[in-house]
Amino acid sequence: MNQTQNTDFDAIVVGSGITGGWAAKELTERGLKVLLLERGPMIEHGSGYKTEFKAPWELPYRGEGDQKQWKQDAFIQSKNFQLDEWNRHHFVNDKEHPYQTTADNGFKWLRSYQLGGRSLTWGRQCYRWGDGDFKANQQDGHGVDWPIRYKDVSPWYDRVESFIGVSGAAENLEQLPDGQFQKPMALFPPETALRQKLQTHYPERCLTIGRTANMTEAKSGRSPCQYRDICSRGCSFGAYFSTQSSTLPAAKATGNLTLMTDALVDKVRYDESAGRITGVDVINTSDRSRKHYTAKIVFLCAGSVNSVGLLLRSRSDAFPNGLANRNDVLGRYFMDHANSMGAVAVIPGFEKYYYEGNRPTGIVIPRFRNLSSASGDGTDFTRGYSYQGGAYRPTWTRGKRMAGLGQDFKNELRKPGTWMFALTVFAESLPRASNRITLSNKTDQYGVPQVNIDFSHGENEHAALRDAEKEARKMMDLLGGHVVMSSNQPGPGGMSIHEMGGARMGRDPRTSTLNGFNQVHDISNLFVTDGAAMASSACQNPSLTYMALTARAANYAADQLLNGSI
Amino acid sequence: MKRRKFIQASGLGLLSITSASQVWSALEGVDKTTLASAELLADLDALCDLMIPDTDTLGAKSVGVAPWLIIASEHELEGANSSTLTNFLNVLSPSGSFAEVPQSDQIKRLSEVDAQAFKEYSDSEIATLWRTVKALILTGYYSSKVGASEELRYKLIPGHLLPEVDITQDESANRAWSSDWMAGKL
Repeated sequence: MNQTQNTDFDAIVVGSGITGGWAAKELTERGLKVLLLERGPMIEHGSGYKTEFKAPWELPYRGEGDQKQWKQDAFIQSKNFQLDEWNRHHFVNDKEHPYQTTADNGFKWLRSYQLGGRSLTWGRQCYRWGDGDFKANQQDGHGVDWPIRYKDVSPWYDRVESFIGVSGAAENLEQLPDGQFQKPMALFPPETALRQKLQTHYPERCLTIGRTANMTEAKSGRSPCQYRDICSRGCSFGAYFSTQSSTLPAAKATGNLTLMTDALVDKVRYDESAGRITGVDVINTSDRSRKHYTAKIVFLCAGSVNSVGLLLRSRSDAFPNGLANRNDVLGRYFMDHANSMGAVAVIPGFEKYYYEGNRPTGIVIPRFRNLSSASGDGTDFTRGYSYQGGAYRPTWTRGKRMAGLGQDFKNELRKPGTWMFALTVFAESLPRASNRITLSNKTDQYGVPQVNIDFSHGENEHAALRDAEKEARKMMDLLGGHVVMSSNQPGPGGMSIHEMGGARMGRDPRTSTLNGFNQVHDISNLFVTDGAAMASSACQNPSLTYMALTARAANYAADQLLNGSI
Repeated sequence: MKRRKFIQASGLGLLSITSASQVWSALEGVDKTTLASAELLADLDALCDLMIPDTDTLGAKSVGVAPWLIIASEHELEGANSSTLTNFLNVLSPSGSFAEVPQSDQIKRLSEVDAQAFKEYSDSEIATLWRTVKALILTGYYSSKVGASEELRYKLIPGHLLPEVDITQDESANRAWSSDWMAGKL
């Protein structure tokens, strides 16, 4: 380690969510003194989950939330169907945290500002990227070539999966590599039937149980899943991966962690003469006081938009357009999966079956289009899409759409509804320079410039969704399903909550922000390891890849620091 | 018609018109300044009773859904607003209190409206309002302790997943879960 530096900490990690927790864990376990900064309030594991065990009749609005109030302060967050009265406090107040968009139906930025960030509220789906995903940009020319390949990340996927606990089934698919899985959760009868039908009619398509960071086996003081499916309230059992349940206890156990909540990082400081980062400026969101903390390395893990925003506002004489932005790439090539409801169908023939317990994952049908080459199987789009969803039996809420009154109606709703099958689509989002995060001339309550998000889905995404709808309907036909709804129209950007890019990795400093170790090309002690680093989006959930890249980058940084190279 | 409008009343006034435990249970934790008239509550009770009557479990009137409907509509659940309930009752029963209409006529009238709303999918005012009010009553009932855990089944911590329960072998299993949160949202 470079002993000439006298800093407050060895490392500062900005953001305590999925990647921030991992950075803190890995760096502290390597013996570094780490300051972990979180802009939101403290939420203690267990005792902080205040609504976890509440029944609907114990809540004023029976779980639906104060919709009148939400129009005032959750007008963006309420677009997330997951939002309810139990977890409202795990999502931001839109009035207090404004941002700008360019389009009328602009980007919906769904956020969680608290200790643990979105690790408390995420969908928990964990999928490796295949080697084809890391080669895609090189093959079809969209975006810049990733400076890494699957083999570079694979051991870090192993490390992350083994630590966080991922349940799933091995399927030996090149496009969705197997990992270190705990035993899979079970399929429901219509799902098993569709899996079998696909094997016969579409052998290139595989329906498998969603690989999820909900454990089926206990580990490290954490209990297996209790099949409640109320994860976003927080889970005292520690049965799903969150910062609180998993990485934070590990980091704390080293004795090397300093955790600070209510600490908004305003700027990253750059010393032009030394050509390195010296630390960060922090606003205490409780009393508005400001303080500067120094460190030898800084990891940005604030989420794609906020990490990019922080770099953009960290201007200096050396970087007048934003830190690490001499090439006008910062903020560009921002992505989010195009998401639609491929099909929802009534499925006959399984009426004798019901289920007990709430499975906190669905099914996945991994990408099957354009696997042999960029656009090699006759489609009018490049790359691909995947399905998620599953089978279920509606409960009483179906009565809102049914005719009926009186005892007969009540008796009907006493029974579960007919089996339904839903297939939602995630289509790959191509990296485009025009999809961009910039700074607005408006500021927030702390005087910090707001971000402006200019985002739209492109024709390639629309073409993929059109194909996905057609194929979803065909697959429902295999089950004799009656499709009651289908669509090929994506929701607004942001609705997949898979923000990626803005500070992409690449081989060439002229066209990318980060090298293959998430390190800013010309600032060796600054790392960005959240979704901002992504150079393409694939069509599977990205969080596992963020975690693997973070663990990899943190160990690289520790190596570099300890051998004096940084 | 004026009697149906919301009035500012004292808690004592409200207590005199319906079960105190039901009302205060429903109102716990929310603003109690806006309370409702006796006629409005009686009309809502009539609607609740027609829609989800007492059977081997208590129905919507008996578990006190009516006062919760007022809270829910004021806070705009199910797309309602503070006028939804009174507007609906005004078009449902323009000549006076719905509760005072003979029950056979109540059933006939509400059945007509229900058919308009859910079989004909009419966009008439009354059909539109009824879809909202019906959704509110359903929510109020099936999220009550009786509706969720006696009429349906409620288990906060299942602790296991049984993916393939044969309900022809176990009639008790052929009862919907109110605590199937995902199915409830879809």
